[in-house]
Amino acid sequence: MNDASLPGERLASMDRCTRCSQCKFVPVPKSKAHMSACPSMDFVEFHAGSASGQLIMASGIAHGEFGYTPSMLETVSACTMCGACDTACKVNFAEIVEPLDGLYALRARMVADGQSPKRHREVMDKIAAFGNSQGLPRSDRANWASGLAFLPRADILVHVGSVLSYDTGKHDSLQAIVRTLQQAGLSLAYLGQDEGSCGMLAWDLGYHKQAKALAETFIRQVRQAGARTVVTFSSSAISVYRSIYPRMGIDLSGIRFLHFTEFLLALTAKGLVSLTPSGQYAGGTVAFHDTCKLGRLTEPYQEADRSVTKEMGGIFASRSPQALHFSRNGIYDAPRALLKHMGIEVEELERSREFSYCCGAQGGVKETLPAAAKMAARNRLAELQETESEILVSACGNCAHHLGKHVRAPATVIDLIDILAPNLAPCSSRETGVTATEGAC
Amino acid sequence: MAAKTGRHRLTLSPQARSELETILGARYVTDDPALMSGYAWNTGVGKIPSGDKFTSIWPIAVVLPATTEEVAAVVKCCKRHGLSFRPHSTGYGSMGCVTSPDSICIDLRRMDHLEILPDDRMAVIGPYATANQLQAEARKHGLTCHVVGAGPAHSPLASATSLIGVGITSQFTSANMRNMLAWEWVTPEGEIIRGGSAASDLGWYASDGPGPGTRGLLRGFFGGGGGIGVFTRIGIKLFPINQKGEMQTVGQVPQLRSVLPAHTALLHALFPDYEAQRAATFDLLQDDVCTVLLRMPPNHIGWTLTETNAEFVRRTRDGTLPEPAQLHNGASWTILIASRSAAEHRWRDETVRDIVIRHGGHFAVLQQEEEELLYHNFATSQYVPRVLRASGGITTSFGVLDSFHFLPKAVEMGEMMLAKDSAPGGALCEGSPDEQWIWPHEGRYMWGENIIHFDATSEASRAAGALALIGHFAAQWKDPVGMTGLLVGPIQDVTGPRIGKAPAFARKVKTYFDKDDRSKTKEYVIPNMPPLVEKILPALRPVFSNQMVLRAMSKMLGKNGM
Repeated sequence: MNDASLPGERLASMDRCTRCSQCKFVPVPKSKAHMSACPSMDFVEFHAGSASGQLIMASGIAHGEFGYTPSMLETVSACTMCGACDTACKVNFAEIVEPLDGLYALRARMVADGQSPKRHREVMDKIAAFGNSQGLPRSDRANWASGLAFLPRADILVHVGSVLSYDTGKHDSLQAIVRTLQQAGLSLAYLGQDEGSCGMLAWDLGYHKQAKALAETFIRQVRQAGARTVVTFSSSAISVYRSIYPRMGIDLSGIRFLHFTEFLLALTAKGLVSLTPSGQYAGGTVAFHDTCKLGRLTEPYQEADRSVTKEMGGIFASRSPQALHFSRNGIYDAPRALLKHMGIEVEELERSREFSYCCGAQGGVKETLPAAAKMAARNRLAELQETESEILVSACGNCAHHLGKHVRAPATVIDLIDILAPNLAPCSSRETGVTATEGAC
Repeated sequence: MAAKTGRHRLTLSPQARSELETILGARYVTDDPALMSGYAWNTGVGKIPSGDKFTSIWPIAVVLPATTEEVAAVVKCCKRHGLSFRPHSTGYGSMGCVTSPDSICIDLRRMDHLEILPDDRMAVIGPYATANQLQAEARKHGLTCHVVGAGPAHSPLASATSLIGVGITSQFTSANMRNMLAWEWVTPEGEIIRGGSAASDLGWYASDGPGPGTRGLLRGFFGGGGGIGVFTRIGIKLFPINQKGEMQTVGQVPQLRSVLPAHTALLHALFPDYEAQRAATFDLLQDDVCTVLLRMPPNHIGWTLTETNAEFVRRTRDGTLPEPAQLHNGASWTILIASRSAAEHRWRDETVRDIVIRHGGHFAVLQQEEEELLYHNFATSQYVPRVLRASGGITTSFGVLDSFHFLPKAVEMGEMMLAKDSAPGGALCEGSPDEQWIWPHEGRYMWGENIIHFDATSEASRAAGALALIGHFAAQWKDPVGMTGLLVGPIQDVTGPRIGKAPAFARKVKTYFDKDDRSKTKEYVIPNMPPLVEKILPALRPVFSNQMVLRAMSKMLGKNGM
């Protein structure tokens, strides 16, 4: 990597890092135990593990201070790309550093320079061959939908995502929810075995061209299906649709992307489906894990001039401050509202909403550095001990699966779809006076 | 020993590496250049970088000890192998950068011990118990800590032992230079020493045991700067507040706010001039009615009240920033009153208002959100690091630590140094005519620090920043503004007898404990200086004060960094 290989603006932003360490901490911690914002720093421990450390390494490579080293590649691999650093940094530095964009650029340059870690390349090979990072066969992708009938073309396209598609323990809940939607009169399309990777992981690993190709394929499929609304069960997918696809310059006009929690909440409000109090959990309290992808990383990306200009003798001012990301517009409320509809109280973890701590399942860490992913999960689960709840709910299949693997009794981790499925019921149009088409669209 | 590579970098000998790995485990020793790059980044408060921000001197290795015994073993290992070392806590502004290529950087991140002793209004902390952690735990007991200007991510142990230790709430939280209690210290020879009550295994509540005091001897005024061994644990004072438990934080990133607790008020007093402000200050302090008093330069208030630089620039230009952030309103105090009861609050509030009005002042009208933002900053020092948001580059000045009699003169001196270059078209970033942050310390004396913000990407602007910095010292030598607060390294020696042979005494301490200068820094005192040089340096003040010399030095610093 040489100086020219990082866009000048991005390198300049990296060089503005003041090494203040605020990217390592949630802005207003409530305890010593849960003050960290950064699973990567917690694992690596040298400063290099933090966002600041990674930006400095990128700067060092760009300025020719040193070359890539195996330790650097391993350190970069520990980052879950969760964006908590970005939120924390911006409390004081707003537009001048933008750590997450720097991390995206660093990984992209590593790929361009042929320095992507071997395990990242292996993940990409699996995505190319199988359409998922686990290397599971395409022929099994639609097993969950056995017995369900979908239309080849419909206004609404259901997207399931790679994790839930192959997580057989979730298939009953997925089926039940989709069946309820159909019983409510909604016409749904589904890509079946043709559904591939959404591109989020490819993007996070720095394979931006491949991510764009995956995105283009998907959008072509959506248009071929005649869908105007994509409803996804995947938090990675909703994140990539809203915050990454727009960066790629892909034409998304006329397509609306919704997470299933937003969709169900809207249908509930319109009276197309109803949620009954949960037999098992109503009247109880659960803690909620805000997935980084669903929360801060679903903030929509706005096309804008993202450069800064020097004003007043050297003050770096964004040309489009309205387009800066502050983690404000992620999906935080919909899952909480659904739980409330089922009579379940949500107890907030110390690090919640935009300050949530990543569980380690994202950014390729789970696949390539399991020890780091495990430590992050254990750190997150320890937060549950500060609450009255023994149940941690996540609206992300990936997080729920990963946290569930590392949780210790009596605590449990539950995927929101498993609570929703038995309590979701269709309302007939005679009862509500709303047709399915009106309600959904 | 070590083999030399390019760019002032040495490589660790296999024997030294092997010993370090035996002490710490291989995972906690690195000499990988990429992993070490974060320890060679020359930026942040007080730094003037060069074209790129890497220092010319890199550590030979970085190690991560977890215990005091491991620190001692690392220090002894350095001695055996003829290496130097420098401790590093949170590393803000590269304060932990090494200053010799044979130095091991001892990153103390794994030493984050934190124990609150509420009855004794104190905590026992390790080097990586950061202020935000300490404050969060202290608040559970209705207590808080002093947070220095580096902000919530700094190490209170480092500020208490090694670097000044001043922050905006000094009126009621003193300053960390005064807040250290008992201490645990690894000497430059690798001995573990405890002082104060900890020396007698009697806890951490007292800074000095029987016999002469040693806290001041070890840290001096400015702090050890990493030049006198490694502090591994201290007792530190905590202070009662009028709210127990978590902050009630509201708002969205980046403008987090805190709801004012009961019996709390945030006022912003504006005075017709600095003479009136000084007179009012003596009355406010005499009556002991303010919990916190802070004078921020108006543009820095603007940075706090705006979420981006873009908003700051726009609102500066269209004149929509609130009254306290307008440049002509420099004579001001932001005042926090935090009381325990309605009656106490009424008395404080009425007294403050009476004093301000009696001295010709008035109160700016603040929106509730603005009040909550400023209160959040007072309670946490969260936005103090925004001084680096504008341009990414700041340095600071001589600092005034003296009576409030000097307030108008400090502002005047600040203007003399900055007004020309901080005006539109000047070589620095545009700002207030002076940029003095001022606050009282324990109701008695004044801290003042003139912030210089420059464009770190422009050599000319860096040179202007450097000129303002060293120009402050030259001006201080000529016409002192009270006691100089920020005398670092060689500046002390040039300042000379005016500060009572302080550097000569500190040198004796350094030499006694560290005759080989293993604990290396440029921020403590120059060790082993021949008496003749010690005598000559103060005589060179006229040379260093010469405008041509100042400009030449500034140009060099703007090019090569500092």
